[in-house]
Amino acid sequence: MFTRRHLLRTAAAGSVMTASAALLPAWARSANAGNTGIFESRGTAFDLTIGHSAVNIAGHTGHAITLNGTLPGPLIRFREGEKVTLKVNNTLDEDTSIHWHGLLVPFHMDGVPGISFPGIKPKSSFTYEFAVPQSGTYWYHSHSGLQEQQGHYAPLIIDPADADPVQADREYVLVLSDWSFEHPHKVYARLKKDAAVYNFQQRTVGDFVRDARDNGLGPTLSDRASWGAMRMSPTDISDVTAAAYTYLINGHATEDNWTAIFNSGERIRLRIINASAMTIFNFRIPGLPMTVVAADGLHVQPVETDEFQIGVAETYDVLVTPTRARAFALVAESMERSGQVVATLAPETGLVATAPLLREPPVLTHRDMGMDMSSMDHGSMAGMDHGSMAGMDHGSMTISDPVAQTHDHRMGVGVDNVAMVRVSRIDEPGLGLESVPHRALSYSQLRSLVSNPDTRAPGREMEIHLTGNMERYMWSFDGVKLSEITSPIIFHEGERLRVTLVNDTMMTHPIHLHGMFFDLVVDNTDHKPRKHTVIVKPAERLSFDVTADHVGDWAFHCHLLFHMHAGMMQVVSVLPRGASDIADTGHTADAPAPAQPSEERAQPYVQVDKQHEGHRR
Amino acid sequence: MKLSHLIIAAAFGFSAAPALALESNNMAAEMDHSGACGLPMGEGKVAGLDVKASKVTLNHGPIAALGWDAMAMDFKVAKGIDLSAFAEGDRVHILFVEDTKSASYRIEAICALDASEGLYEACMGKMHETAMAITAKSGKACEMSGMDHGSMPEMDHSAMKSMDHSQMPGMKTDQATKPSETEKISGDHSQH
Repeated sequence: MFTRRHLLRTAAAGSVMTASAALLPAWARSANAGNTGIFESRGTAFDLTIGHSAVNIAGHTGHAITLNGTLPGPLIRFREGEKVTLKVNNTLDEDTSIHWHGLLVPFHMDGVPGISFPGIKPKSSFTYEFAVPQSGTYWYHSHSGLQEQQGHYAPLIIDPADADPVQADREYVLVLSDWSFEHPHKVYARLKKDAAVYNFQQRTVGDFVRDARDNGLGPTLSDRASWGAMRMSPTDISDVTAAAYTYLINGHATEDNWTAIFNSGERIRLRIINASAMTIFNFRIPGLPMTVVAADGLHVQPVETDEFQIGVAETYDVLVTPTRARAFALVAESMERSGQVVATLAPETGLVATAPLLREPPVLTHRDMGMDMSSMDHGSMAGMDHGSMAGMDHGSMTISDPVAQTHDHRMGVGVDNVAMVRVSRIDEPGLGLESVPHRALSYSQLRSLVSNPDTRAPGREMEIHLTGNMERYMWSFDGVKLSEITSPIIFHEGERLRVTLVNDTMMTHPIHLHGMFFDLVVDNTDHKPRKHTVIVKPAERLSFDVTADHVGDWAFHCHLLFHMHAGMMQVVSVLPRGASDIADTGHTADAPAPAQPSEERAQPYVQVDKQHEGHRR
Repeated sequence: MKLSHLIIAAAFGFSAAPALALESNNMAAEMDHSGACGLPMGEGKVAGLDVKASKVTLNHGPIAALGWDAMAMDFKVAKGIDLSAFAEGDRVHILFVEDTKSASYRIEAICALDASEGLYEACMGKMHETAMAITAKSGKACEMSGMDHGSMPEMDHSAMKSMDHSQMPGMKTDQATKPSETEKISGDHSQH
């Protein structure tokens, strides 16, 4: 057992990071600080203190908002069905909150200020209590301000009440995150002024010459001309890149060499959580295939792959069985490939895995713009895509755009037969992974391990468009940002409906629905993968079926923190039975176009907390 | 693994080149094709690698397609290959492509032979796709039954080796492979 004296001695002998690594919670420590991947501590009562801390990130000191003083925060682990009590003490001068991501808690315990509760006021406490009927890998984080970017996140594991179908000799939690030394409000202010401010991978003369050589001068000129006419960049993949971020695994940057140890032939379970604010990662272990056994906390039928894209707030559990006794690199590369973080999986401490080179940045194509004519079914797409393209050319995607109301697919009973429209991208792996020389996971490969609890056909279909004005960094659903919505999205308790997300933007959005799991429509199976967060690719049309059995007001938003902050959020109200006289007027085909916002408007539906605005730090 | 080998073997079987058929039976170990779409392949063991410089030192076996004996050589690897997936001592299968700039060969695709079944199959599949993409880019077709060649010209090349490229206007010749003595093909190339 490691004693404090031993830790301090090793800290003195080792690097600066080792010293502060010793202060990390046990689950986040590197192997040379004692983490051997076997930990079973569970509890039912937890105390969490949220406060300011100085943290050491890659040798520099940063200012973080932490849970119990560490970044990431402590692992909360309990058993399925057990009642847990979590007392949260807010020592900050501003409101805070904790949202238990993916947990089916009673809605007033969901932790979203303005929607589920008023937030935890400064210098006060709030006690969460719940018992949840689920198990798996989840996480928890602040839903106030931009605190999640500042370190307010941590993992949460719920052990199954019965035997776990996944058996492993060791398990490690990998929390992937992005750290910014700049205050997040400064980052947001920059993005508002210039959405491409962090994009240092713009195309230059060198790229032009290379493309002209590979594809010919004519095609290259017309390609540059078409993007130029739209005033858009095909390398605009992530808003915030490694220019602002240091990527971390368990709070360790690459130079800190977080290490997990194994014995040859052992089965190791990796619980991978993307707890970042704005970064979609591509995760791989070069030379070691992974078997995906769970997605978003719920078990899936095992599928072997070599790489997967993990969106913000998603979780994946994978099993690896390294047979060769060498160091493997655990690589989390950001989707736009401006940076990566590498950790080591090795048979002993002291080894450093060879980090791979960053790969070529992906480039958006006309398919991502929704202009892939070759695959468009003009009969059904005429009303939609052309409307959205016109809107994009004018540089504004907000309310004037009629896209949300001109869908021309059927809505109503019999939606079983709606064919996958050609712009479905569910069987494509993540952006940039189409051309890697190994297997890459796509959502269409996932199947739930157990049969879906509700296999009814959806009674109605609702279409929600992901919209935005990239130039002005305005983001919304159906063109209406959160502070201007006039009514929530209404579900009725007990109903089964299909939600189709149409991404009218050129960015990849991980969309999260609180309070329930939805069944991703990958095909006509009754083993649809159940998730709480799904990545919607540019110009993608993606559907999920959901049973609204959890009454309450639930947040529904893009989990890219700055997009949510800009207004890409809505409220899904699951109305209890008997409240069916409240009609849902906002999302039917024959509803009028949403009203233009005027200066004097009705009290907004959601009281958005403006307390933190105006900070300049 | 076996299916793709069958397809390739069948493709070569279609050719009017008994020498080639002999070639494919001659190869040691499980890899029994001397090339994919005419690009040379070989086997070897990783003796050293430099991820930053994208170089690997290989102890490779004899590669008849290039007239090479077994030896240890340094190779540059193509962009996109993740060398960190390999370690010293790995037995690997390699696809070579001629690098006209340095008048040598670089590794275009590399697969670990001792990798797990799924990883190996996926890797070999991608290797063949890479070979097809390269030959398509240089204007040649790669006759392999059962594979979709949507964008490839409808040419029946009995074999890619020892073609007389001077008869083919407009084709890049930097993908040419050096024929070995045993592979004089007597196919009819007059259709080009």
